[in-house]
Amino acid sequence: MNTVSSASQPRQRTFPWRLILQVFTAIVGGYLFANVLAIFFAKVFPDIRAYAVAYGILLSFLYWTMAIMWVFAHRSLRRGCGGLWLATAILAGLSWGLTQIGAAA
Amino acid sequence: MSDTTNGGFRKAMTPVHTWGGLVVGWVLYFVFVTGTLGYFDTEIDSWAKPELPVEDLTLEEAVSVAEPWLAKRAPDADSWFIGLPGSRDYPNLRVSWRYQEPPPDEEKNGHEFLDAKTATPYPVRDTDGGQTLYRMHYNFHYMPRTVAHYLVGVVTMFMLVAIVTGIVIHKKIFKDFFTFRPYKGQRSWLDMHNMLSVLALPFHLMITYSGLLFFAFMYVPGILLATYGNPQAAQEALEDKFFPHEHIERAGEAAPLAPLLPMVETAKTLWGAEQIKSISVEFPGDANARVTINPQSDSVMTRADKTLIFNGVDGKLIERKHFAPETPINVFFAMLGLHEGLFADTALRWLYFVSGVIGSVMIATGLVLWSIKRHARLAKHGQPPGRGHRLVEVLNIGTVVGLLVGIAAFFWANRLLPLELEERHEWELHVLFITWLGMLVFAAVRPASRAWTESLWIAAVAFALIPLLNALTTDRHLINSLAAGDWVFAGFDLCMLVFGLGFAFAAWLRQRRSITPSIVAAAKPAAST
Repeated sequence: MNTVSSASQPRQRTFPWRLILQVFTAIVGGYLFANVLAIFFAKVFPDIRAYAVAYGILLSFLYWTMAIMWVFAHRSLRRGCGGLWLATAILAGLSWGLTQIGAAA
Repeated sequence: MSDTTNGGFRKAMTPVHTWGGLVVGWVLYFVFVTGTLGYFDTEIDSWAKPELPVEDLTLEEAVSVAEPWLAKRAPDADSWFIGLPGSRDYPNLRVSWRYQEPPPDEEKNGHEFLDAKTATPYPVRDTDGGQTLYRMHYNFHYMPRTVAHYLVGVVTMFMLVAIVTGIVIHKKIFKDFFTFRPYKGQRSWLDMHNMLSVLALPFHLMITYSGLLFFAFMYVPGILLATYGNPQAAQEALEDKFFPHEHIERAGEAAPLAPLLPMVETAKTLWGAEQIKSISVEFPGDANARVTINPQSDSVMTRADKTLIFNGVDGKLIERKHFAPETPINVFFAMLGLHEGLFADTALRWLYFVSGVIGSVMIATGLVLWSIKRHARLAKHGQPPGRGHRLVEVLNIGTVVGLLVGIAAFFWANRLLPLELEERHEWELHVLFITWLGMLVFAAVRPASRAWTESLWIAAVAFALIPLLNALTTDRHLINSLAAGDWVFAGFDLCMLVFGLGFAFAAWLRQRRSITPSIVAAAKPAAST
């Protein structure tokens, strides 16, 4: 409740690596996450692909917003930033896998 | 979620809201202000073109003037467009013509407003009026459109995040809505920011989210590419699914265009005269000519409006386009329709405008709050504000008030720039930006405590004198327009007066308060943050 007093303590002059990583992950990672999540759904539902794509585009901006909030919601960088990158990687891998299955079928 | 318990989560979102809002705040303010003016774009157009009289033409009169005129002026154009007078969109008979191929030559395209009595164009000053103000909210100026569209997308994403995190950090959303503690420095600014945010929250959310959708296909192309492989395949797949329509090409064979009046008659019997808004003709004089009659936009689903399509050679109604979009596209269309508000009648249009003003002031109070909070914190520790704080303060004064002075200057330029000036419509905009820049410089050289008050006084004078300027440069001044019942002109002049008085009131409030330096008032510790 005392944000005022805590924030007015002398600022550390160290290079803000943590902040840079968070902002980068939120913007770039969040963007990739939003895209990959939408792509993933389009791969999961090949029968209604056009719908999945249209909804994916509509919802991607909300996915991105949620990802940004996720990054900053966690004090732990591993959870916040790492979690988002991991989720993005898993979704990308699954989407790639589904593409291979779809191509084989 | 150990570190994201309720209070922790709220606390974690506070800097996201504060800093995310700050970095794009001034651009967002520009987007909101110019976009809000867009809700009265055609009204501003009318004021900016005082040569165009208030007219009352029948459909038949309009069509029988426009059709031969276009046939003479642009017989080989690829398309004609006739805006039929009688609606908000076309207060006067407007014709335009375009060439598409090959290559597109902007110089050859054109538009005119026709005087039905003489069948000649009205001599209208070279101005882009309200349309250019409205288009600036996504095209900006002095930059390529594509760059502008990406930039506006980025700031809109920041806005969306700022709104959602703003809701999160807001503890007592309902109670705060009824809370305003005036003359309490920082606390008052926070109350005002909260009140304005909550008051029009549905509008803020709608306008921001839907704003992203206009260029959504540009912003997230990866979704299409990963699914369909290449842009062509994606376009075909989605068009086939959601927008089935016939592509028409030029036949290359000449064939006289069927008369338009019988088609208008058909539309009249099907819809009623007041429902007909405009006529577009594709490939006039070609064997594949098509005539489309467009209805008034009176529903939010403007993009799914029914149109009447006629064969341009035999004049027969060939297709009653009945387009029933599917669910996701309905969401798209509804969102875009809500954003543009083309369907809004006068009362709803005012509500849109007021919501836009609330949004603009919400952003402005947010920016001011950032400044005041830090000044107060520094004052408590007896420290002077740093360079960053000073920069924010100057940008705040120079943009929050300065942009508005720039817009007033745009209206002044519309009346005062010589009519024969080359690229006159561009100069109107140069005047806007030069004035805004001047106000930024003014904010930088004056002490902050004075700069607010003085800028507000400048804005007050710049707006309040516009009706006088109009009276001196045209014969359509307030007394005449009120007597003639010309509500577009009277409304514009009255709005300018009200804005002027509003800024004067704000300046007076500021002046009265600055007897005690604002820093001291702001330094009163806030109850809670």
